[in-house]
Amino acid sequence: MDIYLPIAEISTNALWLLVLGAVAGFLSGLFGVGGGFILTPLLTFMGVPPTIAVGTQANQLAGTSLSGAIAQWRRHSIDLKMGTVLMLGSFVGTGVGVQIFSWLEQVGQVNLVIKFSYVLLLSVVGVIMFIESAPNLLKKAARIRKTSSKPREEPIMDERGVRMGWHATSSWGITFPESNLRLSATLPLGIGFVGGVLVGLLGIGGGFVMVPAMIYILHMPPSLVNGTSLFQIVFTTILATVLQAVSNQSVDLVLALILLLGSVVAVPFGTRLATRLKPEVARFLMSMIVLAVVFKLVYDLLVMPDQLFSVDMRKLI
Amino acid sequence: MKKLILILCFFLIAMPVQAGRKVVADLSDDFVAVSEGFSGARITVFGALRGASDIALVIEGPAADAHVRAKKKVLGVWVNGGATVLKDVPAFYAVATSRPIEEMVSKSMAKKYKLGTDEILPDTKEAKGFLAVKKEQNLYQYLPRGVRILEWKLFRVDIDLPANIPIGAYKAHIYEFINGHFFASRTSPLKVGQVGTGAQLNKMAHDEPALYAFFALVLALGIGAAAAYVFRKVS
Repeated sequence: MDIYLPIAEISTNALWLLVLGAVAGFLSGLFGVGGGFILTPLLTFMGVPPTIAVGTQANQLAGTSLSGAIAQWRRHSIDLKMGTVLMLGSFVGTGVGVQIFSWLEQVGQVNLVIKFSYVLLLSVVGVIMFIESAPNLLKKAARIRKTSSKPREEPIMDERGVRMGWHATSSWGITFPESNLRLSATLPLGIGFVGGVLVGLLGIGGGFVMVPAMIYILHMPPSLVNGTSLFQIVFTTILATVLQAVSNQSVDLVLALILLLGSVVAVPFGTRLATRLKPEVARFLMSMIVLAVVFKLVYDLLVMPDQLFSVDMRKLI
Repeated sequence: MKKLILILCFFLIAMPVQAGRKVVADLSDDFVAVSEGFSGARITVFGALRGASDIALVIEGPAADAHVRAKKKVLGVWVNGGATVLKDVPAFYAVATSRPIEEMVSKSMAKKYKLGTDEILPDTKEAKGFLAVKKEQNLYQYLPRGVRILEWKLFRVDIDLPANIPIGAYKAHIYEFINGHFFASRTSPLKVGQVGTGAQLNKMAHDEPALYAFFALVLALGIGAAAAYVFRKVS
């Protein structure tokens, strides 16, 4: 069943788009990430111009992440204050990301930069998750029942029992009661900024970078990480949608709605599976998917393409 | 069919023979409507020959500057090189003829009437690359013997416009050659445009981008919130 996308001005198969949306939604429910990192390359492969893929996904992610954030809200697993600080950093990052995107489009290197950024980000995240999850799995397989081999660092607490994080006592220091954490606001602002750049530049929610950063850098309680990440992604993708629509006219509503429909239906299935999977198994599977995407991207960069030429007849903005 | 032949005969008799003769032919459509389910369209041209003629049909449209980039290997990685601009080339070009072009007319005639992809593009490496990409996308077509000569000196041409046809204004040129000499021509406009909801969305996205973004967000957030409500027991 073919459908004509009015902004992309191409005709594609609607069923495939639904399947793509469903895959992204399933991963989103399973791992608490948007699944955009798989969607952008696949949409481009289907003939959607990268500009439209990136702009449209911001719109689609706004819907998907709202759906996820509401579910997390019901479970009280959102740190609103942390989410707001991350969001502020993310807003600035998104603006910068959209600007970089427009500039790259003019010099014709959008595809290369997008691929390179993916390779870099995904390999780092994939390898970290793999290293972190694989040994646990192996131990389990060998039935060596031991709690974590490394003794956990004892967190430093202040007199009220609030954990003291990075530069907690500086003038930027800020306390997050829900996470029971005090640290310098520059850290979540910075992480939010990086996430925002990814939203503007790559059209992904940035969850697959934010979630590990919140666990390993901010040391937030894991139960609050997914919800807080989704909460700020809702607002960041709303801003990204407006910026992309106004400055690049690159939001294809029809494409976004089809992806969204596939996605929201699949999210609960991912969530349900997530409750049955052990966390390290989930992270191990996630690292496998991430590394598979990296492998494909690296392969494309290194092997001589069938078609050496590319043509762009769209009017550059 | 009979009616068409009668009309054509009438034209044949009524047509004054003079310079600027017109080919007796017409397009099946002058507007290609790109709707939500658009998956390509077929343009048919019917006409009548005035003698032992050859017919060439050229459909071309919307002209723009093409930025052509060749990939090259830098540090083991394939990257886009700088862009070469091909000025004012059609985004779509199809030529159908009753015989292969070189059998029909001389090289200079082919050049003059822009018959053949070689005649509308410069002879450069980038232009060859451009042509290869366009052929892959079915946006540049050459159909030798695509013009079929029927009974009673009638001819018929079918050109398939692919689903990825660019929106815009096109022209259909029909040429009649006799013994390699120009005899008559006809140029008809052809428009490819979006219709229905898609057209309105496209217009809104460009004319009222802020309103469009608002609309897009209301829909996306609405679906997201509705899904959270529907699946509240599952998650």
